Amino acid sequence: MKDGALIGSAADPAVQLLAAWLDGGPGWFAHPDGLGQGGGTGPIWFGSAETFLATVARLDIRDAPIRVVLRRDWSGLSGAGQAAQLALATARERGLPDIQCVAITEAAAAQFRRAGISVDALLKDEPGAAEADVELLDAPWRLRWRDRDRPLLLDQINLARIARHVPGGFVGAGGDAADVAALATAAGRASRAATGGPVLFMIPNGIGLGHLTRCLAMAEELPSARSVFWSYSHASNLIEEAGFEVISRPNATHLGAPVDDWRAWETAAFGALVDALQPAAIVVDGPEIDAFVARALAVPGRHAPEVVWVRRGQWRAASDTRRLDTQVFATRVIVPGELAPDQGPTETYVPPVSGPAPIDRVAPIVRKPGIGWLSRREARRGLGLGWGRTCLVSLGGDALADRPGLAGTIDRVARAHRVRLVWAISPLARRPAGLPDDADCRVLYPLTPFLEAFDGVISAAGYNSFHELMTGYDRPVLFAPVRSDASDDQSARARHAAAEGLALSLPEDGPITEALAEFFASVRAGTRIDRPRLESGAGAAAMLIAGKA
Amino acid sequence: MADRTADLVEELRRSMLRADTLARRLARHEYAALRGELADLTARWARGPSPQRPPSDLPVLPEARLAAENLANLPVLPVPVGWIAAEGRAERLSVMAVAVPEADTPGLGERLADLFEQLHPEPFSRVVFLLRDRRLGPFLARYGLVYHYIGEEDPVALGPVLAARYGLSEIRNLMDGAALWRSSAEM
Repeated sequence: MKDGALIGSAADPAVQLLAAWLDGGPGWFAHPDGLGQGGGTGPIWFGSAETFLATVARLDIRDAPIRVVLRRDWSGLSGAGQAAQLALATARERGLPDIQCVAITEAAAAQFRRAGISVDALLKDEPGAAEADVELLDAPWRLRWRDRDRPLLLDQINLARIARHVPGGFVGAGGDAADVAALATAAGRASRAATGGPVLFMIPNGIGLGHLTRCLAMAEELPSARSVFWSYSHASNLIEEAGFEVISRPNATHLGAPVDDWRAWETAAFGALVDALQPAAIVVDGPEIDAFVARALAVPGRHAPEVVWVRRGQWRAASDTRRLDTQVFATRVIVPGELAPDQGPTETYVPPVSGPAPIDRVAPIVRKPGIGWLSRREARRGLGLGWGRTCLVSLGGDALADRPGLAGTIDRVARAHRVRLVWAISPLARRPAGLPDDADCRVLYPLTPFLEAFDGVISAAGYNSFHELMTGYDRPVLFAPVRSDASDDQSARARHAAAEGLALSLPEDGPITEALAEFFASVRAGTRIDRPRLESGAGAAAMLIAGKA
Repeated sequence: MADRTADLVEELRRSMLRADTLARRLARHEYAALRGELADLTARWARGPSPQRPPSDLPVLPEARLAAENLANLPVLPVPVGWIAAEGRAERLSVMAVAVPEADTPGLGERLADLFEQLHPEPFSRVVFLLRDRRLGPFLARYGLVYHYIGEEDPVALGPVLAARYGLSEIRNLMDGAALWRSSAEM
């Protein structure tokens, strides 16, 4: 960290840009409500004359050089000139000889000089913004792209991060907005995203393994980068066993905590980790970018990491689309591919305001098994399976609860077709209720290396299971989609696979015995099915995360 | 009117008793499931092998890096009693942390069983489990219990931040019950 300090309001875009332009590093910024003494002998920068006046009495900065950034009013100098004069008078009274006023632009400096204030300009060569495609508006601070109607409110958004993604630069309406726009243009052109730092993956919830598995798939395609996980999943042991470092966190639901209280801790803790780790990118795989991530990264000095949102599609029509609005916090959105057409909000909803993030689509992201695909003989030996047709049943508690009596019916029809069943149990779950007493239950993660052991699979139609089976397995599959899933339209995937002849699907309503009998008959017959063999999109996603695409 | 009010009060009392009875029954069911699973898991962990862990210098609780005055500004978070307890007013219980050793430590299953027996059905405290071994996490979560993974970190060093976060009064060692750390308010 650089010597000295930058003191100002965390929500002031000019202070966010100053942190980037002056390159003080994480932790260099101090909020005026919680500041201590600036470290070392470097200059103490104040984001405005008003901040200097409000905080100077609380600081022991007798020997430190002081730099006060003078800010123009919208229309001129009236209040700004008085504040600057008052700041200089206060410095004289407190015996602070090494004080220097700095305006952001030469135009502003000239205006202050005409008012009799000695001042330097921060930007010696004001960047041209003739091609500017973004207008900066103040009171409150907003951005308006020329080709969009609604402006983006700079609330909990670090302008220094966005500035990197506005190559044409910014224009401001006048006064301080013009100065801050010039600084945004200059800082954006000068700054690059952090390079060489680790990639910080964020896994949002404690149920299911979908987000975790997809993040592992991408991290395993980033061999040259250190990948670190911030995880709310209870299966953090699986991340560690895959060779990655992980910080486990309880979420508000685990604690039964008020969300705002929990967010206050996460904002503080996540910010502290970002300062310590200095990641090159933060990858959020989940249905939204939580407000605590945005708040932590809005703090001046935390502009460097790119924010990548990995946003799986196939949401249900009734899903909460406000979550899609959090795209404004991202600098890149990656959409993992879906074999089934997505007709839900992730394709149809248009956020009222969008940020700088391009949307990139990649092929379905599935994880390549680390130990490689086992041959049928190896997989059956590894699982201790003997001869005879064997079917894997991979239905979580949700899928079984969704259709009372399903487990018993599957067991009965399988026995009638002389097919042995192996029931896969999630590493996170208890043995589901309703399984036959003599059920052969196995905790298998990851499942894919062992798939060749089985003559057929009955599965829910979550993203990972569906795409692993439809792109890397060639035996009969029967989908039992979870109809009650809050956001994921599993039925749409299952219907698509059935319509394309890639799999069977249990009927949404009505008797299921006939579909099970058809499935087990094809298992019994040793049927092979020609499915598309797709390269996983994990590699392409990793390239985008690494900024190489 | 008085009769009607008395009837309503009586019905309410009966409803509360029914809810209490159901809560106790549910807690008994959860406790039985926990004990059965604990026996299976500890036997499996004892057989090993222990998983490989990547070397890491990550802070296990990044908020421990914050200044004390910043920690003091954050709200105290609740700690649930878990689903093996039928405590209706858990918030009045003190909060303690229990440092749990590696999953293959001899005697671990017995010590955990002893602790859970004391926490069921009427807990004496709310417990935050401090884990050296991540394999215990999914098991504890299945019963609504809270844990933090602390790796090789000395639990004593985490006392102040856990106290700010959960209102923690003390940290004890699971294996011998020894107090490792107490908050200044407890001393």
